[in-house]
Amino acid sequence: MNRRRLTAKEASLVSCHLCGKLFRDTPAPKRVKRRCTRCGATLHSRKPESLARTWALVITGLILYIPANLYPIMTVTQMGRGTPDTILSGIVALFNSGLWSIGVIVFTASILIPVLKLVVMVLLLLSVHFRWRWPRRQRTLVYKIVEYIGKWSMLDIFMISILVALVKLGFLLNITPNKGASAFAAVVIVTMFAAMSFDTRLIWDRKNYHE
Amino acid sequence: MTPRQQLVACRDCDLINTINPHAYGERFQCTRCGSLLRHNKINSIERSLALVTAGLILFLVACSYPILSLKVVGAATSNTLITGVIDLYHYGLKDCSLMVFFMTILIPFVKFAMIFYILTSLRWNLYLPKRLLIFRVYHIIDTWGMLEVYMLAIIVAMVKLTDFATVSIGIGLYAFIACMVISFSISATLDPHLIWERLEANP
Repeated sequence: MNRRRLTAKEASLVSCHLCGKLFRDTPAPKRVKRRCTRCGATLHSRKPESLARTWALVITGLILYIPANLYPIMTVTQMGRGTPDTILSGIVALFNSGLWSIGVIVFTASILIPVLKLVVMVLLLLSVHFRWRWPRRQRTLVYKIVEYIGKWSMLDIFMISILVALVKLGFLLNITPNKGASAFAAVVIVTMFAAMSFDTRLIWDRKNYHE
Repeated sequence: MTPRQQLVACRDCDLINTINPHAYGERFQCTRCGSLLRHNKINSIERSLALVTAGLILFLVACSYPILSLKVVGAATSNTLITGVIDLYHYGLKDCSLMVFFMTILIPFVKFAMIFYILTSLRWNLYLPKRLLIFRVYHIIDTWGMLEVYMLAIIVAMVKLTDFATVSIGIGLYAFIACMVISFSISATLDPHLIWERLEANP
């Protein structure tokens, strides 16, 4: 039983990425997309252009991260005086007013998760490119965590949508959204797509199929 | 390999594993990377159908009643799920408003509706059209429903506002919490492999 166990790719099989059905990987003429006979999704042994797409999306995310943090995301107008808040200044304000438990949550969702996600994606990409000896199981786990936590960054955007709708007390207190929110939402979406386009099977492949 | 066994490729590492697709209530993990290959859930269709029916009704309640209301001397405001979307749109953040609409209203609702459609047809053997396509779309939009994130946003917004005014909870919020719990429970009871196989047998 010491025989090396095969992957689907090595056994000339391909599994549907959506429903998991296994197919024989027959060489199809170029530009003809093979489809899963069960669910109709396009069949591919590895996600197409996984590394290039993930790099492109990660870099887009890094660029968008700058306006997302520099521009204000919302303005609180109290007694006619408006103070625009960026993501960071909003968190600092929470800590200053003693709401540190909420401050920690917002900090995790809006700063820690996006940064962690971008850094981890870059490390995973490099590890595949340069065949690092970082344990494969650990890398797969790290990827899964990053993929799961991504959506929690939308917290700030949702919070703005709630506050804007709720706090309309005219001169007394008013909250309006700003352009920075759009940039931040874009970062979240782009990094979520980046995580989706990365293929963990590249971590496990013994040969570099992507080269 | 006995006839009851089946080959599956691991989604995360591509290794071929042998599983028994009929083992009742059994979980199968990839022998190399440990990812879950398959979990044959017990009474999956009936349980999920019960949950999704409740979810659909409660979601309508969550959409139509106020979630939070705010009172400051003389003035009072309240919000529902949709008002945030409309206000963001009016303030010129059309992209944001569209995203919030999709992630907190449209996709969660469509997900409930799709699951309801497929499960009813499977439970009573009705041959409704486009089931495979619908289940495929369900898998694609699955990650973009963010009820639980919105829930956390409501809590954060509430705590933030307690300094300025009295915040009270509306019926909408209770229904919304129930929807979120139901949506989690459905992902725990739903067995996509079973559904794929049943749909393949009777497309």
